[in-house]
Amino acid sequence: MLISESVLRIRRIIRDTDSSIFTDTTIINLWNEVQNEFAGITRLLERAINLSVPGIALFTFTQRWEEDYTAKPAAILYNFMSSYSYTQPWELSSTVGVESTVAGGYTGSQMWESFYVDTQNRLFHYFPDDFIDPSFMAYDEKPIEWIFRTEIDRGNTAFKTRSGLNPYVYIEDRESKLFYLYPRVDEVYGITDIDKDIGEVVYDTDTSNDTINPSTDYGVIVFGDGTELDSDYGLVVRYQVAPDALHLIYYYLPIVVTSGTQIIEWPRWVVKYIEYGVLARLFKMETDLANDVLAKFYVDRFYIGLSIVEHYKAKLRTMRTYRMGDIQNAKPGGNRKLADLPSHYPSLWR
Amino acid sequence: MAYTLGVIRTMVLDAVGEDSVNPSYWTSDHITELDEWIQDAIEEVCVLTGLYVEELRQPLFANRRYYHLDPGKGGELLWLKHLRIEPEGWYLKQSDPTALSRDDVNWMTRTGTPRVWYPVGVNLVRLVPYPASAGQLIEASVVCIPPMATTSDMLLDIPDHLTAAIVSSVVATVLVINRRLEKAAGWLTDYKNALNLADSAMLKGIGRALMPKGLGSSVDI
Repeated sequence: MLISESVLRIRRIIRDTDSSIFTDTTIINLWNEVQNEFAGITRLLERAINLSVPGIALFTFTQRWEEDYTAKPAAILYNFMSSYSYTQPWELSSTVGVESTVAGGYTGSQMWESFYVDTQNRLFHYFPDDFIDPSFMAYDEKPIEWIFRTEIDRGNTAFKTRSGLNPYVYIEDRESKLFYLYPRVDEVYGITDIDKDIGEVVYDTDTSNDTINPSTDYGVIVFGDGTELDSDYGLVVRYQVAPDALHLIYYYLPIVVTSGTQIIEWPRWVVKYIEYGVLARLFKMETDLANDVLAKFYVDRFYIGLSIVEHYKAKLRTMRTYRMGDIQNAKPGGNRKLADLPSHYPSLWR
Repeated sequence: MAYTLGVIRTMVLDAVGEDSVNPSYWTSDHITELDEWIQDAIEEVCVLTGLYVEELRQPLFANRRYYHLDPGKGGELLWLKHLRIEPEGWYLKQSDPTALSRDDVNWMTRTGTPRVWYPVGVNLVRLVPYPASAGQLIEASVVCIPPMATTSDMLLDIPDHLTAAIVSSVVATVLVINRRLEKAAGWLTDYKNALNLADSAMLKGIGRALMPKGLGSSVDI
């Protein structure tokens, strides 16, 4: 279902099909507001993904003296998210000792072209942008738990440098959607195509193709050309599988809609409840169409939608079996008084 | 008898005082609006009652863990009533990742004939263990929403006794759009009564919420 279809349905109810009161932009903005509220309350949208370890982030390498060209404050390594960061090819190699075959000259690199993680910093991961809450997490196909800073700090001064397997998801700062693996993972097997001209994550245990020691360095350096073209297969899409990765099942926010031609991510049967939320807001706004009675009516309909989704989720999560075995396993209550049956009746409980 | 979309349209038009033979507004140019309200009502009734069930079969592939389930007739999946695997004929038990982790820390890597499943989101299921080779099939009874009827002669896949609920809901929607709020409140009450949600504690709560509050208590606009 397109967002334009939903907007038209809303316009019919508010009697503004000629856009004389509300623009499409106003209604679509409200749509986004309501759908996020709906997603946050119902936790209806859920997906499973695999995140690479080490995480792939938008990093670039920038010297301090370059900071005037970009953003402040700068650092030797800083995850500038500006459109332009300037990096010389020799800068990376001079810091971490990777030999670069590229010599001299000016190179203007985009933020997505290089990837670098300082040896002094813990390797962090981002939850996806649409992340609301985790439902389940696993590392290397084994379930892992969450842990918070207060739990790690307690009597553990060396938590930054500890490494090993069986990590926890250490959530330092919930608001920024940032997390670490604690202790840091010291055996990962990333993609090792450094010899090719395609930028890749370099991170393996045998150190055969780079000079980074994975037991001490988190080092990853990548130059990428943005697209991955293979002469045999054309565009190659590489996907992350669960081994040696973070498997994350999480509740997510739907795609933000911005124009009428976008497809709504919700199942159609949910869309009307989001429309009710939008209608409630539209009828409350200070316009000629304001109507307190209808605003209240649609608020109620919105809450009915929340209840119906709750009912739906209860159905989704329970599947009744009605097996006779369940009856056999049932235990009588401790103080249950048994029927006083004639002595020749076989006892049910004894 | 089974009701067609055309019959439901006529019932609604009669109820809102429109000439169903020669309508002034609900002509072929505008009738899709009405069809959408009818589909909205069918969706809500299906979610509340779980009345529309389809059978679907999904072949399993080697080493694939997750499967999207989609009803074959173009409707929308709601929830699973029953899931079994063929040719073994086993019933698959429902679980969740946390429960599986308590039993077996390596459950994610287990391969073999699936014994357990759990849902992820609205139409995705994970099978545990997952098949290492192709050749099996899952057979599911799924509660879903029937595909939207678009032409007047299409039969609506709903039991006849729920037609009253659908008509009442659509009439109420049309009357709200026409700002006949007093009358709309009456039809919403009929809708709630026709659904007869009193048997389930949770649905009883929804039934109470469906009662129009405040609507019609002021002067119609």
